[in-house]
Amino acid sequence: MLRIAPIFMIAILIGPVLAGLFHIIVPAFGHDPELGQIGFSLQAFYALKMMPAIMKSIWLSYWLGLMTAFISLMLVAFFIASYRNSYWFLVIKTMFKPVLAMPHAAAAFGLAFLIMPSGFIIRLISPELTGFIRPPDWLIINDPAGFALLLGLVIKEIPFLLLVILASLPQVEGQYSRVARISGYGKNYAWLISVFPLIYKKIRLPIYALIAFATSVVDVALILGPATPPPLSIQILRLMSDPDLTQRSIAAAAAIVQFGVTILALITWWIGEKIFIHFGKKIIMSGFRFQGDKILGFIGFVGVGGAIFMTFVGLFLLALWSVSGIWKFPQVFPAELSFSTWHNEASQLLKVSWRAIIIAFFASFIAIILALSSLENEYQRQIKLSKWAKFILFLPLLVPQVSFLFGLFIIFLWHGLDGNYFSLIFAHLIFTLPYVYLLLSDSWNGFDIRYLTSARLMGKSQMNVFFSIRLPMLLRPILMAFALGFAISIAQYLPTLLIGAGRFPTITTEAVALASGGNRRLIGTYSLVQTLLPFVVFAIAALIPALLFHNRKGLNNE
Amino acid sequence: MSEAGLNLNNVRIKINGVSLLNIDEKIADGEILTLMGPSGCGKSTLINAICGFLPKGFSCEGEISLDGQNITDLPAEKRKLGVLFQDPLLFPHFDVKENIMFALPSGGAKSERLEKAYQLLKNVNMQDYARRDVATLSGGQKARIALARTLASNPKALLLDEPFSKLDEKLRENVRQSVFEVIRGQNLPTLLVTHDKADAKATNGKIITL
Repeated sequence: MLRIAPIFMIAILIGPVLAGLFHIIVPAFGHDPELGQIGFSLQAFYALKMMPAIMKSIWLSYWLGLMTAFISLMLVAFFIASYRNSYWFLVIKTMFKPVLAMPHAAAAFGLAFLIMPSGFIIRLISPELTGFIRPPDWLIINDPAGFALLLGLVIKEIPFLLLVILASLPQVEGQYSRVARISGYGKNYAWLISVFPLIYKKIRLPIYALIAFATSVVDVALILGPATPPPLSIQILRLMSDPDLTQRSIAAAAAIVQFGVTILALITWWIGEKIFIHFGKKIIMSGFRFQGDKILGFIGFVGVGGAIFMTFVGLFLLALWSVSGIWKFPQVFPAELSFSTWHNEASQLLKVSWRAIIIAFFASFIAIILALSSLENEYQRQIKLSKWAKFILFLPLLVPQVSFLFGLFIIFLWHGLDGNYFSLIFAHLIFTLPYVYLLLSDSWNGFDIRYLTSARLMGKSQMNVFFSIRLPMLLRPILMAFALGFAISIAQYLPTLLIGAGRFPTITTEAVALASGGNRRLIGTYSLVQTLLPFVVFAIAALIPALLFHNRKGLNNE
Repeated sequence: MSEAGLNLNNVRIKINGVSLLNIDEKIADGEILTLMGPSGCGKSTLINAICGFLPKGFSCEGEISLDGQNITDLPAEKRKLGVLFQDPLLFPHFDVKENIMFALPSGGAKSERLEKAYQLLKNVNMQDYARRDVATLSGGQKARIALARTLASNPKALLLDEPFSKLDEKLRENVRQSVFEVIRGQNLPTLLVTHDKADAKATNGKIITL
């Protein structure tokens, strides 16, 4: 039974991606029997090329992907280099996890409420410092260059990078930094040139996943991104949603171009890595001791601290807007509070939340079962994951969602499988499984197997040892992995929209759809619920082991 | 005015206010002082204190001076010390010669720096390994390259924190001989902390047992 778990896992991770990609290639090159198009043609690509400002859309997607990765990585590296042994590091370590659990869309709305012309920052200084009694006519969010979108992505990716770097930090010898300092290098610079290169090797795949995500993001781009033209992913979504079915082949062609843009961004990053290593090494070998390295710590602190602070303020603003009555510009706070939005939307909120909970529960539960079975199989058969296996784990995160999900949608459509719970849960499972597995594997591989050996020597079976020793002792990370899977599923916008065929609105699809309406009370309410759902599950995941093992000190440590 | 060499003037190390170690010693140029004692007696903590790496909860009172300069409150990178840790800690992302060049003070043309690196490797009989990946070296070879790297930064004093403890017994004898031979040639004040009597004996210097 355990032996088939990895096969299932690989099938779930590779199958939909490859099948999805194949099914966009076929219509993109003119073969769509449903529309009576048989044969090979580049017509769809020509039509795509003729679309207004398509090259700008492509460029936006490309530079956003690269800049998001570069800025977030730089800020997190500078912060850890400078503050890793400080009080502020502990503060950030405690605070970044809730930010990580916050769905992208909710964080984007929170940021919009903060920085938009009628947002909190301008209200704070108006009219005293600005003289504004009406919101200025500034295009801060949805700006044509995509800076607001870039900011939103950086703010959300900083906690992700903190998570992956903190997970790799104990595996890398911190003493290297001491050797560098003794050799005359300043504290921050010493860490950056002696420890960070080793960490970078370990986090390369998550960074590639980040680039793939940022080049093809949909929900955050709908909220903060430019509209004329939007990034390529939004163009694809529009083409896919077009009632004119002939647009489907153009959408497929655009999805292939999106895949190409992501690959190009990854290749650019890879070349950048090589250039950086080459020149970086030259500088290091010249013996250059960077004396002003304290500035790096300052930049890192402002960036990372600012990102987390802005997310919390954004969350506060979502809550405030959800209960605001009259709130005119430039009032900093609403003149009156009202629960009318909550009251009016209660039944709809309940309906879309419940649907999201069902999908997220099963998508995470199945991911946990598959990950546990695979890990136990690896342990019992003494298998070590190869580089390729790790690559497969990241595959659904490295290929743009918008590219392969559209193909998957076409397959489901052909077979009448679109728009039901099973397909939706399956689509979410593709994204929950890699995260659940990666989070669990750290705890699983770090487990002291002498506990298991002792139990086996007492005559217990493998199965008995698994259920009576391993599972209870690893209950905390298992529940945390479940909560992470749940949070990822709740935040899924595109899979829900496409595979659900628009008939299964969840809290996330509803919240993102509100972006175009601009009703801030509704946006605040839906985004807050969207944020609270994963928070509650994370809280329950922390509470259960604390209650179960309240008298077991050894099992109660973080 | 303090004397030349490494001076530990009434140095008192405390952990959460409780005294862990008191020492008042002067190590002259060319002298090797050995500090012996069981695990947990504060030997490595003293090395950390001299380097400026004391962890939270620890405090250091008294004065540490090097060649007449009070270095007690200087950041680690400005103390001009060389340290050999228990592990060789060769950077795995650099090859052997790059590990040496990393520690060389700034300045000079690339060819000069390379020449210096080769000279340092020659001092420890490792010149033929300049381009080798450090992961492919034996424990003894790593220890010798770590020594060459330590000397590359032109330190004014050497601190040895049980540098042979992770080598097997046969290898340890060999490496110990060659390392002390090189160190004696440097004429630097050297502090060795160890729990191995053979290490202490090999220094032919003063031994303090904690």
